[in-house]
Amino acid sequence: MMGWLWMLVSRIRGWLWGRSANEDFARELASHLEMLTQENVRRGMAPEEARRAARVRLGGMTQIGEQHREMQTVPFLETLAQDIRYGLRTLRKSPGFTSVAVLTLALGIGANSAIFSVFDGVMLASLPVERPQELQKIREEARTRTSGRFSYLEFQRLRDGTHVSGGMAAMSRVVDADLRVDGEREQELAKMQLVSGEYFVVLGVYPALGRMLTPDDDLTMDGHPVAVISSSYWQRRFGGAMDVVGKGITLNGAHLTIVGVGPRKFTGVWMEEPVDVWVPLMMQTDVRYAQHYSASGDDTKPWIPQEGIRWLDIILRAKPGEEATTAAASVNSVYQQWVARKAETIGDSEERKLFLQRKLVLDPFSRGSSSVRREFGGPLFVLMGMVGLVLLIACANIANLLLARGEARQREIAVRLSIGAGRFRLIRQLLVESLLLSGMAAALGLLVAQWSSGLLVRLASGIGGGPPPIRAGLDAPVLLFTSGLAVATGILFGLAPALRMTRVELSAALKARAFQVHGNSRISLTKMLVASQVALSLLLVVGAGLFGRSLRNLMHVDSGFDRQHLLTVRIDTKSAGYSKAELSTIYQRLVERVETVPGVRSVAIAACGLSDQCYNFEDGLQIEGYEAHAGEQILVQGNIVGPKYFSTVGMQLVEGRDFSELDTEKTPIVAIVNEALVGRYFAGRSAVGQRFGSGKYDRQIIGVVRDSRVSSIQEAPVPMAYYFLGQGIPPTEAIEVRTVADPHWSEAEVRKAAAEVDPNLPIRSVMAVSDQVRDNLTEERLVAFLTSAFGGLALGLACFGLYGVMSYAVARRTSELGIRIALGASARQLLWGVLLESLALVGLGVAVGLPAVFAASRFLSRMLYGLSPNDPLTISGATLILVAVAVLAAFIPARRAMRVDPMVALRYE
Amino acid sequence: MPGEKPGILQGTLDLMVLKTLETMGPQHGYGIARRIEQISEDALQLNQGTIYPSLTRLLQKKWISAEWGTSENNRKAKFYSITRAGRKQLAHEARSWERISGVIGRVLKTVASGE
Repeated sequence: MMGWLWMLVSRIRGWLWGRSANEDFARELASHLEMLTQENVRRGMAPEEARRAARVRLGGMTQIGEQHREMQTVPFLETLAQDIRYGLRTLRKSPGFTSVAVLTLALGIGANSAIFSVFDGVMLASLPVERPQELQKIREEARTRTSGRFSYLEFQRLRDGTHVSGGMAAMSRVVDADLRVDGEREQELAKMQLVSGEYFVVLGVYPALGRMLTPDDDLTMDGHPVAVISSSYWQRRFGGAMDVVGKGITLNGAHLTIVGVGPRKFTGVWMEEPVDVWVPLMMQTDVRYAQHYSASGDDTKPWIPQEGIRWLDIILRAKPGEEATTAAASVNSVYQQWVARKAETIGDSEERKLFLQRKLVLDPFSRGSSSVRREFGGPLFVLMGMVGLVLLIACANIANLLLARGEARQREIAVRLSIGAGRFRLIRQLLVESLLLSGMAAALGLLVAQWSSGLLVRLASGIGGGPPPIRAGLDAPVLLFTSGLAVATGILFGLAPALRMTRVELSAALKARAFQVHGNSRISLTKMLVASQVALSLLLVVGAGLFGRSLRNLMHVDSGFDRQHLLTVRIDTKSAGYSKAELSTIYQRLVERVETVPGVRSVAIAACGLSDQCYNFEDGLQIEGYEAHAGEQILVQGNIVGPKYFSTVGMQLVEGRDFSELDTEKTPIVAIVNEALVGRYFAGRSAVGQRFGSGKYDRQIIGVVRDSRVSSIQEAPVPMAYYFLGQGIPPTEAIEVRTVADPHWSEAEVRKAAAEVDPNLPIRSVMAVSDQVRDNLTEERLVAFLTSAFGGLALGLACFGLYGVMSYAVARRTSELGIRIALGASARQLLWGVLLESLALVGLGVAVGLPAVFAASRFLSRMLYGLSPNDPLTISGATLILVAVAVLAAFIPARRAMRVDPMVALRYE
Repeated sequence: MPGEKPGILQGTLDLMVLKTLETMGPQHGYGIARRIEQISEDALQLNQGTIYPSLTRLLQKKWISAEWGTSENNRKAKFYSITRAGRKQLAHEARSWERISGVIGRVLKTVASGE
């Protein structure tokens, strides 16, 4: 085996640097000849004679040299190089064809690479940590809905009670925090995450500078004022300054010291929420990590020792397979002890049984977690499919161009065949030409992809600002994908024409003007290509139509309130650290001050903004008169709102009364609920006057409002309860502002007014709610936009293909048309003839495409809102568009057919 | 070596060149050709040039190496010598050659006696 390999190596070397070796060999032969001559002289021959005889003994010098040279090269490479040189020359000779083909393909390949780069970044990329495939996330599997998170005590029990060799770590969500660098005045928002001391150890993430957090940094509550910043924050905020370690920062009021910088590329495990600063879990109260609002507004007690507050995600490291199974068993055995203890406190036997069924499972976490992946997963698959189809259409076009070109090159090929070129060699040479085309297109396509994948990521991240949540770039997998694509497309569109072109009847082709070479089979191949283009385009146009109409439906969903002329100001009274009395006056002054802004109609305070999720699914809620079935957990989202809230946001009170100044801290807690809650828990009964609560029925329902939907407009509304701000005065996050006219006009003024009330009050953002609705439809808009772009591209390509084929057919039939005109055919007849021919092609395409549409659209049903995947309007509309475009494409060649001058046409022959 | 099926003549010439280099030590092309002619007692009257393809092939397989040197009568010549891989190959080839020639000899004998 080795011998063979060495031979190839040396041959390639010989092929590359053959010249000097040949000279060397010539010298060697000369020396041999000399020795032979000498021998002959020694034997007594005359010098002339000796030399002649030596030549005879040695054999033909030329042949030996030739043989030697041949042995020094790799015939395949040698001829390949010839093919490439020849191919480049041919392509250069027809710049029109080359540029059209390369551009078409570059668009197709570029679109594929761009979508793939996003697909790769979202769906395939692993976390930049050590051996990511070993990471597992613990999930609680229960029959009832749970938050999926764990309390610190649960984490502690699991961590200390089990032995997982790779370690176990916990982390909080990523939240906004106010960060101020020591010695600077400006305060800014940073993304903060709380992590247990083991976090970086388990992930296997090492510092770029300083050190990461260790288990020693996470021992006593509020006793570890240290922080680690991410590399990207370091670059962005500190310009990569080396003296950042040791710097002090104030984070939500807590003073911390930066002890290290994370490695490049690592920004935590949630793709769309890159972390700027990590803080030990134990610092939870100091850095005011709190997402939780309760009706009483009392969440200032530390979370660490609280069993009821489940706020952590737990990850561990265990090799998939046996090690993971062992880890899962070990984790469960600890967990089951707790479940068993807890179950004893449950009275209802049915409920207890269900509770006992809870268990923990390990989910692979190698790619981290990403809502983008869940959200965009389906659409990305669809988009990948669509760009694939676009590329197929582009290939069909180029195959057609090649076939047409083949006609023109028929003579050249016939000559080459007749002087002895092998058919295989010719096919290979034609394929090399196609591969050159697709290679150039791929290079250009990468440029297209580079530009458009950046654009895609920006589009996908919406108006939100901040660093884009998706990593997408031209990295190794994308380059590999693109080059694979180049080879595949080159062969795809090149092979059929190459096979067809080299099957030539020599005698016919060599005649100066062959009338029609090789019957109609070539035409039928091109026609087949056009028909399949039509079929594929139909698929894409229907897809675009479906997503477009789905988006339209979503835009017009009844959100349950008047979302025009509404601004939400996001504030953060929590991190400003006000007392209750201060809060009360600030709320009052905020409302009064903002209401003086010109163009503002009314203002109301709310704990969380309209488009934000209010994250308190209160545990253990009970509703009087509602019999929860075994294991059911009553989940109600709560919001705490100030006076005039419902009138300000335009939410209709359908029953009962609004909150009033008479509801105070001293009167019983009252609540207004939405229709979804009434529908679920008071089926048929009137909710007003009913009571509910946690532990005791201490809250009375005084009114019912319509459901509102902003954050997830495509999902069913969740049960909500609104409480009155006056009854607890908790910190809040939002001011809702109703304006008279376009809310954008008041944005700046409102922000200024709110800031005037208290310069210490952080104002996060001012945004029109209608914009937020649109923002929340970013994914749908993006998909609709991209699919229509691809649909349009496909339509254009198919149209171009049809035009090309029909005008070519007309050109070929010029003489026939001339004869028909001469024999009295009317122009109209000829026009119809050509049009009908193209319509037949389109009809064939549609006939093939429609079943494909029905088969494929099933996969879209989950991504569509308010219409069936077989929506007849969309499908018939798409078909109509396709036919119209096709007729348009055929019309120009048809008119040309009509204008054929019989005399010219006949003389032409 | 498995996977290598040179034609009989080509193969035997390679084998003879290898054997010559093994027994004689480094040799130039002329020397090798002469030696083969002598050993075969001039029965093998080939054009001497035909050993060059054989030498090239062996060089490419790294079974022999080549180096410019000076011949006994002060002439520049390229000297070939067998490599370790070449010795191994030679041993291997010689064995299979003996086996094959043995088999062929037996077959020919039996066929002859069977007639």
